[in-house]
Amino acid sequence: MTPAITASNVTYIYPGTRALDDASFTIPRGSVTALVGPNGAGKTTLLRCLAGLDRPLTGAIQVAGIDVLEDPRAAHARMGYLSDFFGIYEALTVRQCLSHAASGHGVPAPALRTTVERTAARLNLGDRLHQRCSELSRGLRQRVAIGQAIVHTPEVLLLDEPAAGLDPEARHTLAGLFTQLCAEGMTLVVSSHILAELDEYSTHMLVLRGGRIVEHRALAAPYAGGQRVRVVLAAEQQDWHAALKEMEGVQVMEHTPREAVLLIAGNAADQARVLRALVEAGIAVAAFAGESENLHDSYLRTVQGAPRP
Amino acid sequence: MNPEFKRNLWLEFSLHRLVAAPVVIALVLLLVAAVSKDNPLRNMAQVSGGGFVLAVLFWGAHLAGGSVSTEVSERTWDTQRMSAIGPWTMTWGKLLGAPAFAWYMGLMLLPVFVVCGQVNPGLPALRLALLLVAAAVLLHAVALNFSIYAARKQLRYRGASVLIFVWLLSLVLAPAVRLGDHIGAQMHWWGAAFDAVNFALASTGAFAAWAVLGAYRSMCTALEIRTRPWTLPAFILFSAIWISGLLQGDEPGLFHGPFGVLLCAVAISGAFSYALLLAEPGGASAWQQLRMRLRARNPRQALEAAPVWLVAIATGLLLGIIATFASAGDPATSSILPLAAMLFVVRDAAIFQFFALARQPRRAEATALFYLVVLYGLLPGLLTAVQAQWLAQWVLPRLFSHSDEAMMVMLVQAGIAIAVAWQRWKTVHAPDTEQAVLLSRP
Repeated sequence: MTPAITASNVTYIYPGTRALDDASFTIPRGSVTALVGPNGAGKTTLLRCLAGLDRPLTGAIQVAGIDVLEDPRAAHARMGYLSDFFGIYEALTVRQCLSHAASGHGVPAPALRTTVERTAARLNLGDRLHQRCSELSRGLRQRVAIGQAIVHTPEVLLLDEPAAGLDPEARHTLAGLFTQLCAEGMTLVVSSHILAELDEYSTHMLVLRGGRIVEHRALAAPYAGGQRVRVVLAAEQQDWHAALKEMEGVQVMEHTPREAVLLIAGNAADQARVLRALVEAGIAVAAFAGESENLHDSYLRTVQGAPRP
Repeated sequence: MNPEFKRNLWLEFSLHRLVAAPVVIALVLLLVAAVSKDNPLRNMAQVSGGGFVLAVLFWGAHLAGGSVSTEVSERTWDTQRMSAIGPWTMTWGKLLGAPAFAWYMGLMLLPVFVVCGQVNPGLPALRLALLLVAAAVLLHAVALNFSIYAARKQLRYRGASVLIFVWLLSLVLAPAVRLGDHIGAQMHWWGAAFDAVNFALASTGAFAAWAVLGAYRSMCTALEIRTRPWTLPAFILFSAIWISGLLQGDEPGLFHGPFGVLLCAVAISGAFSYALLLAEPGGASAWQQLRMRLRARNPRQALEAAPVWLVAIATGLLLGIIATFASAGDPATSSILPLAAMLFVVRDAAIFQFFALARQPRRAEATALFYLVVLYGLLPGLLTAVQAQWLAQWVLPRLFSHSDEAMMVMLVQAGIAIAVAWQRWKTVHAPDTEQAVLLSRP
């Protein structure tokens, strides 16, 4: 099965700025990739290139097996894109907006009505179909914009800051929708600054910095450097972690007088070796447990560890 | 139904508008009939014809011109670009959809014009009605083209629309007004006589078709669909043949025969070069795209990435060279003239590029235009005023009277301008491109 997205050596240059610098990656089908990075990292430029809205200087991009740069219109029939602004027609009703988006993406006329109503129901817009978009609140307009992006059931959905300006309840609902879309087989790439929100549904993380891909990996998979272990002491003890730094295969990622997070290379036997060494050093260990890294921690570690562009 | 056309119908039509428009038109025509002391039908024909010009030609062109730029300002254009609607469907959806209400009114006025016009002997009402329709399509397509170019440069079309509008009006109305005085007269084109109305109808129809094709090609570019640049050279040749056909006299002259066609073609190429230099989003990005395709030895993609103003200049230069060789030794023509004229364009394009290739280009077009005013007006004027004509000729050589001299001077000037622009490219942008070339290698 071809990947959902394949980007090879994509470079995009604004005058004086290398917005994307030789970006290459593959995004598997059915995944939700969190596209993260500091401001100006190139996230929006990357999404616009993937969507075929901007043409990179070099490189090739395939979405759902279609060369986006050679045949953007065919690729658009199989992808949806939500830009960081809404892009909805204020003077049209919700039904007209969704109907226009559906027919513009090749949904046949006999299926338009049911397609629009199904999408509206999915976004809790069923009772708003007759309302003009200009009369809707920001959150509802955002939902209409998402509806426009998914109305034709695309294989790939690109979302640029989809939750910006939404209240916590609306964000939670949105997270549920993305999880559901992913379960149905849709591939999502979501750019957002709200990492806690991305953490709810992301399966992969793609970190951009200065136009370069700093890291791209599955979030569920163990970190390539080893197992992340949290150590908690029975009582505070100054400089207790100094002994750890000298141990082979152990990296102290963060520490306080009471606890530390370690990255231990190798397998369970290596973790047992570290625990034994701590106990033999007279350190009162109250807890020693492996933990999975959340997106926030992972992002910070990646960005802090990456060389500045 | 075309989704874009349908969307425009939703926006343009309401029950109120559908009912109000015919009522208002009927009331106006009844008023004209009531106040007309003699020949009310003739007056009704004049009012309905004038109403069509106002509603469809002018207001319709304004609506067609806003069809893309309004989407840019309301930030819906990217949503449209992300759809799977093809460029031709999008073009005609906007061309007929945006001015749909203007056409609705026009389609009520036009039958009145034709029917009432029958009472005037000698007035070819039906053919004039068709001429108005063709003129409307021509104007709408040109306005749509402007709108697409404005969107590509992220300019607000509305600001400039009034000026463009007046220019378009004069362009269309001037021959139309003269046509009114010559109904039944003959037009001479390439030595053959044609009925004036028939000639105007065929010409306007042909140019309307070219304008629609141009709008389609512009739409392709806006939707990131690359095309090979054959349309502009073909249109330049068509226009040159059309214009020079009108200029053929009994006596041999500058515009006589094939040399006249080539001279017209060079002049049109030059005009398009300047217009496109101002209209196209150019600068470093366009050159980087072109250079990468040339480095990859992919001529098809290089042609697709070439800026259209460059195509216009290349067409002009090629035709200028052909004209020079074709007319060598002919005393009736100044064979070097077209080539020398194109060198002015080459120099000016290099000046434009010099400013557009700044690291942070701001107001590049305005700055370039300022220096062109200096080169074409201020400096030669000042030098002439202080009796330094010999120096003035080095700044602005006499193209028509001393073409050979002008050729030499402009070769030097164009060479200097290209060298300066090239130097800026090399120092500011070439390193970025070089690095991209290295990175793209497997």
